Amino acid sequence: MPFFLRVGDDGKARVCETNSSPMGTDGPVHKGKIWLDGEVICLQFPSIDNITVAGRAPLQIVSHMIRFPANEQGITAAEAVLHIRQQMLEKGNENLLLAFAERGTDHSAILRLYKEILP
Amino acid sequence: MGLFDSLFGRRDREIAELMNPVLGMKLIEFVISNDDPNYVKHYFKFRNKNGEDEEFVTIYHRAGSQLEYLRTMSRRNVWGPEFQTLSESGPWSMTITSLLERGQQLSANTNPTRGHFSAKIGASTPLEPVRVTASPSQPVTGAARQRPRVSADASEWQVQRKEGIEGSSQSEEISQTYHYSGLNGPSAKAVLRLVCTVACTPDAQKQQVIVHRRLRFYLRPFSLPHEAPFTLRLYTTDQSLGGTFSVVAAPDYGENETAVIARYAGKDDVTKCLEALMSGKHMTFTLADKTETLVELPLPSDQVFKEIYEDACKRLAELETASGTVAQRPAPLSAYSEMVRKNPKGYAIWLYETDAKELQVLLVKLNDDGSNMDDAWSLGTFSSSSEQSTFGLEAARYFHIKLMDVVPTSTQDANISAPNELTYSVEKMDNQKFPPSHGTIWLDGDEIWLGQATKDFSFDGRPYHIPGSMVCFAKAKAARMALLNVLRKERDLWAPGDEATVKARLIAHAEKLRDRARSE
Repeated sequence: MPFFLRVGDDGKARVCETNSSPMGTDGPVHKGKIWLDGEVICLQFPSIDNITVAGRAPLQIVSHMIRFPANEQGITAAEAVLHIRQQMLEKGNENLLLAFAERGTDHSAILRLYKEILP
Repeated sequence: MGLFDSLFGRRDREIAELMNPVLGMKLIEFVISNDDPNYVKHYFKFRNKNGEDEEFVTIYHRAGSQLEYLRTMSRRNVWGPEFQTLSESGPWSMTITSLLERGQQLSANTNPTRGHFSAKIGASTPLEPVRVTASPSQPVTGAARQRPRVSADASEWQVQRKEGIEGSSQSEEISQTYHYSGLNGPSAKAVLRLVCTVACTPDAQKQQVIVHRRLRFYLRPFSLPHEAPFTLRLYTTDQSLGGTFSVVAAPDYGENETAVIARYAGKDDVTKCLEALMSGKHMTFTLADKTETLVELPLPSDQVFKEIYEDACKRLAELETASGTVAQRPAPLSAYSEMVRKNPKGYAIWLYETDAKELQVLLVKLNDDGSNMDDAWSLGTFSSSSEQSTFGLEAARYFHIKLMDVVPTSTQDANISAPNELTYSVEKMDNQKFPPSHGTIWLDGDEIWLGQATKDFSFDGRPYHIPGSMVCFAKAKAARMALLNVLRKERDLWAPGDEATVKARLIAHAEKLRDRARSE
C-alpha cells in the first residue's frame, strides 16, 4: 500500500498510508508544474485543447506560466489559481472555461482575467 | 530535582544518557586486542535498550612504554556494517572520554587477547590520504593515555590585488596560513592555507553592487591521486556558526602533497563559512570521507578577518562604481543581444515612468500582435527625461529595434513589479528555456498536493536513486511555509553549476536519502 506525507496545520509531517494512490496515477486534470526560479514561484499549466462550443470552431486555452513571489502570500495566490483551474474543468462551470478559451493566445488577456477573478 | 529537570522537565539520568548513550547500555564484552606491536585496541560491546549490540574500539599507538590515544571507532546498526570513526569534538565527545576512562579501569583486571577481530579495525585503505588528525580537546585523565597536544601558528593576513572574477575588473585575495605541529599520523606537521577572493560588480537594476566571494583551503600533507568528494565541517567551537558541507578536494598540481578544496555543493556554503570566519571565534576544520574523519584541525580565533574583508569590499565597490553611481549606470546591452537578434521584431525599447516617478529604459519582449509586453528587463534608471531618451535611442539603435514611449497600464505594472510584491505575470511557454520542474501540484479538497517523480541517474558507472514522493499540505501558514521549504530545497539541489559541483551535490543527496531509508 502506498505511503505519503501529510503536513498538517502545525507544519509537522506525518506518514500516512492509503489503500490506493490518493491522486490516481497521473494527478487530476487541473494539475500544474511548479518550481522556484530564484525567489519566484513559477506555476506552469499545459494547454487545454478541443474545447467545443456549438456553432463555433474548437477553442483552446494555451499553455502558460504564472509567477508569484516565494512567500506565504505567493503560495496562497498559487492555490487560488489552482482553484480557478480546478473550477473551470468541473461540470457546470463551462462559462469560466470559455472565458479563458476566448482569450486565445493573448497571454496578457489571460493574466487580466486571472487578476479579475482572484480574490 | 536537578537543573536539567527544571529546564526540560526530564530526569537528569535521561539527559545524561542523551549526552553519553553508553550510560544507558549494558557492557557485555571488553577485550584488549594486542596483536599489533604498534597499536593497542580496547574493544567494547554494549547492548542497548532495544536489545541491539553497539560496538566501540578505542585505538592507541605505542610510543615506548606509553600509549598515545589515536581515535575511537564504532559500529551501530543504524550506520551499517562498517566501523565509523567518531568525531572527537562532536556529540560523541563525552562518550569517547567515558570509554577511555572505562578502558583504563577495566584493563587493570583484563589480560590482553590475540586474534580478536578488532585487531583488523582501523586498517588503512590504499587510497587513504595522509592523516593529520588532531584534536583540540582536553587530554583524558591518565598519563599513559593522553590525546596529543597540537599547536597552531597562524601567519598575518595577506591581501593581494588580483585579476577580476565574475565580470569584475579586479578582485582582492585575502589569505592566512596556519602551521600545525604535534599531530598524529606519519607526519606530525601540517599546513592549512585559507584563501578568500572578493570582487564586486554593479547591479544596475537594483542600484547596488553584488559582492562575489570564493573560498579555498589548501591542505598539506594531503596527497590525492585524483579529485574526490569529501565532507567538510567548519564550525565555531561553540557550534553556533558554520556548517557541514559536501565538497570536492583536488590535487594542487603546483604543490607536492597538497590538496585544494574549492568546490562546494551548496549554494550558501561559502556564505556560512565566511560568517563563521567573521565571527572571530575559535573554529574547528574537519575533513571526512565516507567512513571516517581524516583531518581535524583547530583554527585559532581571528578578529582581523572581518575588518580586512569589509575594507576590501568597500574598495572594490568604489572601484566598480568610480565612473558614476550604480543607479545611473545602464546594464550592459551586450548581455541581451543574442536573445534579441533571434527575433528583433519581437522586442522594443520602452521609455517608461514608474509610479515612483523613476525614469526607466526597458527592453520589452512583445506579445504576438506586438501590442503589449510579455516580459521586460530594465536597462537603467535615469534622473532626467533627456538622459532617459538619449540612452533609449542608443539602445534601440544598438539592437536595431523600435523605440516606444509608453504609458503604463495595470498589466504592465504587474510585469515589472518587484517579486516581493504580490504580482502575477503570464508568459508564453518555452520548454527549452525552463529548468526542470520540482514537481506537479494540484488541489484535493482542503489540501494541496505535491508529487515528485523518482529520479535515477548514474555517475562513473554507479547508479543513484532519488525516490519520488507524494506530500499533501494543509491550507495553513505553517504548512504553506513547509511547501515553500520543499521547493527551495529542490531549487538548490538542481541549481546549475559546473559539472563536478552538481555531481557532488546530487551524489551527496542520493546517499543521504539512501542512508536515511536504511536507518528507518
